[in-house]
Amino acid sequence: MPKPAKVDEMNAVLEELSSQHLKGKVRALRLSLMALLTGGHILLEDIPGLGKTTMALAFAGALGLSFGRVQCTSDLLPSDITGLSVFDRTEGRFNFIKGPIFNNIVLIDEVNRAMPKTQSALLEAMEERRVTVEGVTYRLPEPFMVLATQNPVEQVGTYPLPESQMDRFLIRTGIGYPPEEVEKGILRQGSIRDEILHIPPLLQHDDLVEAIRAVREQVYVGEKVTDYIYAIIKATRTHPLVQTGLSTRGGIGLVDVAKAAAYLHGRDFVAPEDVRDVVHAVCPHRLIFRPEHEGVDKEHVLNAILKEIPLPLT
Amino acid sequence: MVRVDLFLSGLTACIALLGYLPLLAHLGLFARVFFPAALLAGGYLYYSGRSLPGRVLTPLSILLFLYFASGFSISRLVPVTADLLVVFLGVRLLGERSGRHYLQAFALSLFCLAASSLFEMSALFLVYLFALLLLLAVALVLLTFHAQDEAILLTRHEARKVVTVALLMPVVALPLLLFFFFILPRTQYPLWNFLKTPAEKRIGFSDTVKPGSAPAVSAVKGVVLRAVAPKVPEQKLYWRGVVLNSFKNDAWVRKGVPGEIDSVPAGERVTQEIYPERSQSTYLPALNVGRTVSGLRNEASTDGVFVARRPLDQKVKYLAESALSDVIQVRGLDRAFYLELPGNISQRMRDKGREAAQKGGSTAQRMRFLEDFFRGQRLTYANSGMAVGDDPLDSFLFDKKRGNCEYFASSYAILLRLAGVPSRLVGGYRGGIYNDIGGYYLVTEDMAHVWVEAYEDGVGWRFVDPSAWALGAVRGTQAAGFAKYVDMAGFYWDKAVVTYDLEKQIALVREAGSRARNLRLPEKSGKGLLVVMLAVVPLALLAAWIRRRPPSVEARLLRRMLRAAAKRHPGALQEGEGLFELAARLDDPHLKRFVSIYGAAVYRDRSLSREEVAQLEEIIRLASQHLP
Repeated sequence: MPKPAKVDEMNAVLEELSSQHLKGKVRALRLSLMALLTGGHILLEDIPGLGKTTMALAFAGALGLSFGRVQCTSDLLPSDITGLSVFDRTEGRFNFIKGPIFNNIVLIDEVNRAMPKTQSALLEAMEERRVTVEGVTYRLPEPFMVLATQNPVEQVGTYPLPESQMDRFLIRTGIGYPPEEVEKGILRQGSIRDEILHIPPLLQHDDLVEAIRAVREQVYVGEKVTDYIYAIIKATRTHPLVQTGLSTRGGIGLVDVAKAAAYLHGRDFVAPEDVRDVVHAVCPHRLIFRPEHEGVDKEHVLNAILKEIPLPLT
Repeated sequence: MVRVDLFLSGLTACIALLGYLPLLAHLGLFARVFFPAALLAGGYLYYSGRSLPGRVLTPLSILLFLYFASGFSISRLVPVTADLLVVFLGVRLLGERSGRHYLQAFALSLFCLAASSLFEMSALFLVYLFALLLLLAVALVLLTFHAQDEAILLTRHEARKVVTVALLMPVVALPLLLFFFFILPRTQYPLWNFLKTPAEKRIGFSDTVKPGSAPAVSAVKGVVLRAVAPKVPEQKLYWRGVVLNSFKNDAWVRKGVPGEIDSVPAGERVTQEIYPERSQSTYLPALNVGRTVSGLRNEASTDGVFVARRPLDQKVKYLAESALSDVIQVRGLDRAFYLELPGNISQRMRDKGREAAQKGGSTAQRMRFLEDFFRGQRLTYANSGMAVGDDPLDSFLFDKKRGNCEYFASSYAILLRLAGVPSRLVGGYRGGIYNDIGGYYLVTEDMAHVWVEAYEDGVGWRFVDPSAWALGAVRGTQAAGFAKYVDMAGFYWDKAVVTYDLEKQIALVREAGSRARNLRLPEKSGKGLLVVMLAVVPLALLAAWIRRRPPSVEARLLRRMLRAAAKRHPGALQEGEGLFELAARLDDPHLKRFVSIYGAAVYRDRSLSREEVAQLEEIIRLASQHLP
């Protein structure tokens, strides 16, 4: 079976990162890479101090990508993200100073602390992949990925992302505490933030671009898998607890991430289990439950749905 | 050291012989010879460490089956089956010695033994059966060792321990089995009753009443009958069993009823479905007064007594219809017969009778006078310290003043006769514990009772219970709670299991068998039927196979591969798992190769090419042959 292009390199990066620098974050790393490969964005929802920033830094460094960071506060303005024009007296004209968003990987920390105006500017940039400032449109670099974090516990002084905005994130996931042994090791070694700043790039930029193209063009989604995905989407739409099920954009996202998963498995076609494995990353934040069932765990409902739909084996 | 496999083989040979021997006399020549030959050949093969492979034995079995099937006809159903069983048992002994094959041999041996019971049923069958059960228990225990490790060795001590424990199971189980399933449910007295020496007379229903034969009686709680009936008022709860109308040696007995004609008693009609316990008695009790008894052959008398044609030594049931009435109207009463007196009556009683005759005018007044006399004597109802001796009734009435219903009824009836009122004793039961859950009355032996009927001109036989005049006459305790459930369970056990007539069932089977033997098919059609069956059965099997076969090549291949995988990794396959996932989890190289080829076709929406099918078949072959 022919392997899609550059898959070994990608897996090598994952392997190197998760075994050397970011122990116990395999899942989050993998999902981040999938998001990057499909051109989507990822929302990390977890309490502070579990290494979200460290992971983003290491990720960007290992892939040889530029990294920008925005710490959101309630007085953050859109121009703090996109950049603004500054008058240059010597040259006698305005020069555009690019904001942190003009990087390959942008970490938006605590996105729910920014006010809605800033949030929507950011989300627009994520969707359009370009920024228009003072009538001039600037293209964002390629590849481009936003890695936003959100603290699910604190509620005071936050502007939680509405569900419609959540839909813009391809993947939402947590990081979780590292396993006991790994955490003990981390405690012994101390923070590795400095070390991470010096990770040599493990990948050429062209390789990454080629891998992204391979995921988009070489990985095949067959009829059976499409049927399976459609069955899942339909089940979320007709489920009695759910008010709004997966949108078509959600379905497309599911296909994209499943393609990336298949790619990372070294296959040039999607198997149903690829889809099933990424459902929990792609779907829950897109489901809107009926008001009377808001407290129900979305993962549980999804699990129940997945159990009902058999994997197509033949 | 003891080789378990050797031991097991020996046991299996013995077990097979125990299946073969009882059938020996009824087998055809071929089967008779084939089995010992197969046994010897199997032994030799085993000794030399070989066995006939399945590809030899399966065609052999089919050939043998066809050979016997050709001799098959309805009339030879049993002999052919027996031959086949024995031959298959022989074939099984020739094959490889695996756990499954041992179990098959055991099962076939049991079937052979069972088949022998179709030819004849003798006590020898039980001997064979018990021997077989003993050996099977040991063999099954050894088989568990064998399944763990085929070459397992036990020391002599260990082997002895294993065999002892294995033997202990059937040895303990068999008597318990007999006890619990055959003896216990079919006895009507508690088994430990024989331990009690009968120093005292037992209370209970009898058809002679002679007070004074023992100073005390004991109450046994043995069940007499259960009657499914609606609830009736407590004061009407008299179960009429027998009417004693005459004397023999100063004891009340029943003699032929003089020709009186009774008419239908008035009163509420109650139908009862009665399940009597087994006894030697032939009287069929029913609520006072019984009108008709059906469901059991019986003779009815005009005084409301029903006698079964044969003793109730089996569990039976009957339907009784009663009218709850205190009066039985009759015509043509033989007064002289009901005024007969026993030979031995004390002077004090004669005086009392005469006094009643003189003082009282009408019959009712005389009865009233005697009732007052009984009440005035302040008699006590008791089952101990009762009067005995030459004239117990005199002693009961005037001296000891203690007695049970027999004393009360007997003395009152005699006094009535002395006063010129025709009277008779009625024996039966008083009371009954109503089981609300089951909706039936439970009547026990200690409820046995005797009361009196006195004839009043123009009215008929009037019901009188003299025991009710005793001081503090209280009877009847209600069973409550748990006891009620226990009795109900027992009742349904009787209804479903014990009343189940085994002999009748066997007779039915026999009859069915003989009818089947007499079933004659038209000439020639037997052969034709056989041919049609031989043609239709394979066709039906083929159709079933095709129906169950997955429709596509891919699905068939996948099913075979999954079966092979299940064999390679027993218990590891789960529902709802993807193929790649499964292959990765089991880390099985064959499965990985299979799914990479298979998935690349199936999930890319194309059919498998011819080469790919060949490759997959090869993988399946390798996977099922080389188990990890």
